[in-house]
Amino acid sequence: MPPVTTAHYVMLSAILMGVGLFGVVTRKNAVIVLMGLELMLNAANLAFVAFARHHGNLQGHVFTFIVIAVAAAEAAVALSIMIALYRLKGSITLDDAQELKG
Amino acid sequence: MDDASFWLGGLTAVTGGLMAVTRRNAVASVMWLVGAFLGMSVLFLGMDAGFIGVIQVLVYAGAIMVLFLFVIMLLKLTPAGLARVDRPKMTIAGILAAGALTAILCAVAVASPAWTRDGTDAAIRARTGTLVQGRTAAVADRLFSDHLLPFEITSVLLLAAIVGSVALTKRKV
Amino acid sequence: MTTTALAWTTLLAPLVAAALIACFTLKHRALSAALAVAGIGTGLVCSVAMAFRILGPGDPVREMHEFTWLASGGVTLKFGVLVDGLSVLMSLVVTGIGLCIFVFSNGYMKGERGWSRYFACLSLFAFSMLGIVFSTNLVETFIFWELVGVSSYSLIGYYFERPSAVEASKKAFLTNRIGDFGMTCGILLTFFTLAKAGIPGVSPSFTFTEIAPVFHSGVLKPFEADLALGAFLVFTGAMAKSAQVPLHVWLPDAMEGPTPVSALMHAATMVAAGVYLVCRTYFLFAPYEWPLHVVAGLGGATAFFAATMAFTANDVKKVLAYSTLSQLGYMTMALGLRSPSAAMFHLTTHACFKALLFLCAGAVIYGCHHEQDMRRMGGLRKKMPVTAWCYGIGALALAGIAPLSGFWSKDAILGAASGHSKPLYVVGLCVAFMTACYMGRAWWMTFMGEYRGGEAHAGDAAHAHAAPAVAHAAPAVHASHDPGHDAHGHDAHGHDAHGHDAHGHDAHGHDAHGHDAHGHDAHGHDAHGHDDHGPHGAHHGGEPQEVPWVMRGPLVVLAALSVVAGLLNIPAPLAAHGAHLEHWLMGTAAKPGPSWFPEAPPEVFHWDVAIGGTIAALLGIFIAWKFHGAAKSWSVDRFVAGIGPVHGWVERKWFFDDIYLFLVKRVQQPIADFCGFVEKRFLKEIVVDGIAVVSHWFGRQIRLLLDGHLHTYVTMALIGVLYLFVMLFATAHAGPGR
Repeated sequence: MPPVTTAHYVMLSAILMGVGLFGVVTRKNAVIVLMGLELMLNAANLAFVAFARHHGNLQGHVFTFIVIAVAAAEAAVALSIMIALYRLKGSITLDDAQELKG
Repeated sequence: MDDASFWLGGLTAVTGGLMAVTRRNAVASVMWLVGAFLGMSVLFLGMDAGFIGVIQVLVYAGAIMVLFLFVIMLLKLTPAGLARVDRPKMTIAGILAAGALTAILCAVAVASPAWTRDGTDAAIRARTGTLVQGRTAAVADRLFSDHLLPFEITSVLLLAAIVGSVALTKRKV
Repeated sequence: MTTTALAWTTLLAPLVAAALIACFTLKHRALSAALAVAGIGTGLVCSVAMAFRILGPGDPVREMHEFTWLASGGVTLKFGVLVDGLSVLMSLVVTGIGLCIFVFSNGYMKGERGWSRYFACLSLFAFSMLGIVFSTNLVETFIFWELVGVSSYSLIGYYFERPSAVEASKKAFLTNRIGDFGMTCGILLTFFTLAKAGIPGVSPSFTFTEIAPVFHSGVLKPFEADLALGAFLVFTGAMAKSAQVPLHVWLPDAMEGPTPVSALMHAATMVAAGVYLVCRTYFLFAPYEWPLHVVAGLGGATAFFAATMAFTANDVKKVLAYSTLSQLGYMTMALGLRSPSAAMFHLTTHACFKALLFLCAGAVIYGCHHEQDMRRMGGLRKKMPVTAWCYGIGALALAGIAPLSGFWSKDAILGAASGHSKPLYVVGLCVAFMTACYMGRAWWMTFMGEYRGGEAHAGDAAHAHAAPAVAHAAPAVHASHDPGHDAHGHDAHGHDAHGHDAHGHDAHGHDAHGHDAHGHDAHGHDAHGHDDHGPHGAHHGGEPQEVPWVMRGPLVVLAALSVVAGLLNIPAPLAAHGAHLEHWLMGTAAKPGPSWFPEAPPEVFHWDVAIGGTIAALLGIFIAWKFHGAAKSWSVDRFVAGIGPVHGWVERKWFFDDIYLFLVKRVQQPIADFCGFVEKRFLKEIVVDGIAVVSHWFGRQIRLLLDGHLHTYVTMALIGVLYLFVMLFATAHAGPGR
């Protein structure tokens, strides 16, 4: 088996991105869509760290740190929206939220 | 690079992710996703990114996924399958596009000699003189010097998120 | 105050009055009337002041004040006042006659609804006319020209609840629009021909003082064809406003307005505008032959045809309307005969006596409780002596009996005609004869003999005061007029034979639609209901009575003016200093007059012309007396039978309305239908609807993408990202140099 290189990590990152996208595109449960999104963010994080290593500095780590913070904020807000949506519609199925109005 | 940690972590992450996005039960999804994040953490640790690996577990697997669980249980969600195929063309287009994007990225990675030939540990060390160690002190050093402003802005973002969450979930009075 | 400041004051005072009335005093009748009278009175005072400065034995004076209104590219539009003999004379006419009419209106319009609106419109009318009078350039003239059209529209349609009035105002407006279109073309053609000519030192301009010398200098010889056409087109504007054949059809119908409005329109403002315009722009006409020939010919034709039509009119106002047409034909003829000063002279005298006649007619109508049919009048001389005397003076002046004012001005025109064109001289004499004749007819029918009205009110108090002690059964209902019952001899000139159809013609607008629907008979006078416009209860029913002093006063003033106005221009052998008016308008040979009238031999008195005209007039009066006087020695019926079909032609007003009706129905309507078809089938259903259908289809397709489904959006975004990637790598591989 050849040694693991940056390309491996990039490919892994792309696969994880694809898995996350698959979840986002196919699922109608908003929570699981959000999980797909988190997976995609993680894929990006993986690429960042791999590139940081590849280039021999810590910028990628810093970026990843901030992405994690943003992801946390995003998750908090998105889940709040889901709660509000649930109150409004009685479900968090995305198909039920398509009127484009309140 | 630690080949074992790559294969172990990568396999875990991909499996966990796939399972997470295909489970009917949202709680099962969360559990699989926690697994995937743990795999990610292994990957980070394998890349000597200790700090990121740890907060990956703490923040993602710990805080965020717990939040997910809370919400799922709070809303008493019934198990829901894949999206109804009421717009099959659009769904298939989405899947194809996701696959195509993945394929393109993989192809780019494979075709790029800078990432294959020059991507081994030896090559990196030869090129940059070192293999970076993402320990807490080192990352903090960067974070509080060159990247202080983004860090502070992140704190503002978090504050805004807190306020937003409270405002959104508060019942109308 | 400078002279131009006086002119500005004259111009703006009526506008201020109109604005104040419209904004503040709509509810206060007395205040509105006072404002209107004050506005026109201010104008008169300023005009008199200007007259003292401008008019005199010395060299002609011209003063001008002009400011730039719009400057765009090579075109500069200006606004200003031009004060010279012509404009001062005209402004005296407008404000002087106008003041009399404004005062008269105070009595005539008593109790009418919309009193303040009436005075506001009247003031606006005066303002518009004064704008034409003082205008310094063609564009300013045109603006006020249109304003005159608008304000006349609002006044003719004053009784807007009456359909015939609405039709009449529409007809007047549309007919005038035809002329205005020609005038626009003429102005633009003249302007651009000047621009095209590119004569050094001559910049294209609309201002009279700038372009008139160019026309005089003769440098425009190569552009004669275009400029002559431009002059003729400008004349078409005058043709519509001054009601020349064939654009005269609006004027008789315009009688639908209140009588003082008719007086104002026929004497001082609207119809005078056309003649004034040609005088003001005479430099456009003077160098060329054919436009003036057309002008003269149309003038003669108008004079003749209108005079014949006046014989068949039974409405006391309509006789005067046709008479106005005829006299305007006279003026236009004089213009065409290169005698604009004679035209202006006749305009001035005509303004006096025609305003007088119309106001007398108004007084008669008022005194007879809004009866307008002369067949139901008669004997009013005893009941309304002041009105009768004034009407007599006006009629004699119009007939051209020396030494009243009409004699002098008519003589000037006939003199010009005898010098230039014998056929037109003969036409002029004929018209003079006919004028005297129909005015005599109107006089005898209205004021002499016995009173024939009042029977319509037989149901109430008519018998109590036993007006004419003769029993009248038949005339009680006009439409069923029965000659057999006519104990004391109705003036049965034709309407018995023809029934009241003919009358319906006069009264009704000849628009395209509705003509058939209404039918001719339905529009007899009763159908109009001249009694139904306003609460006239106070003087409704009963004997004709003399009008109050507020109405008699203007009559007397105008009668005096009608007598003396001829003094303005008594020609050379009879007056020591020669013709004043002509001098003011034309200037001396050394210094051309401010109006750029062409050089012409000075007006002299022609004994042969004067005697010829007087004989014609006296003959006309004599024949009218023979037909309509107390003796009734000649029978109108026999005469009508004698001339055969001609009478029918005249009654149908020489078929002008029928021709227009035919043009509208058989020519314009098919074209309109065709355009409508193209518009509906092609423009609407294919072009417009087609665009809408295509956009709608695309919209539907695009709307499918924006269905509110998050998945769709994500997928779209994803495809977008993919596209970006593909483009990125494609360009990276295609252009390594980049």
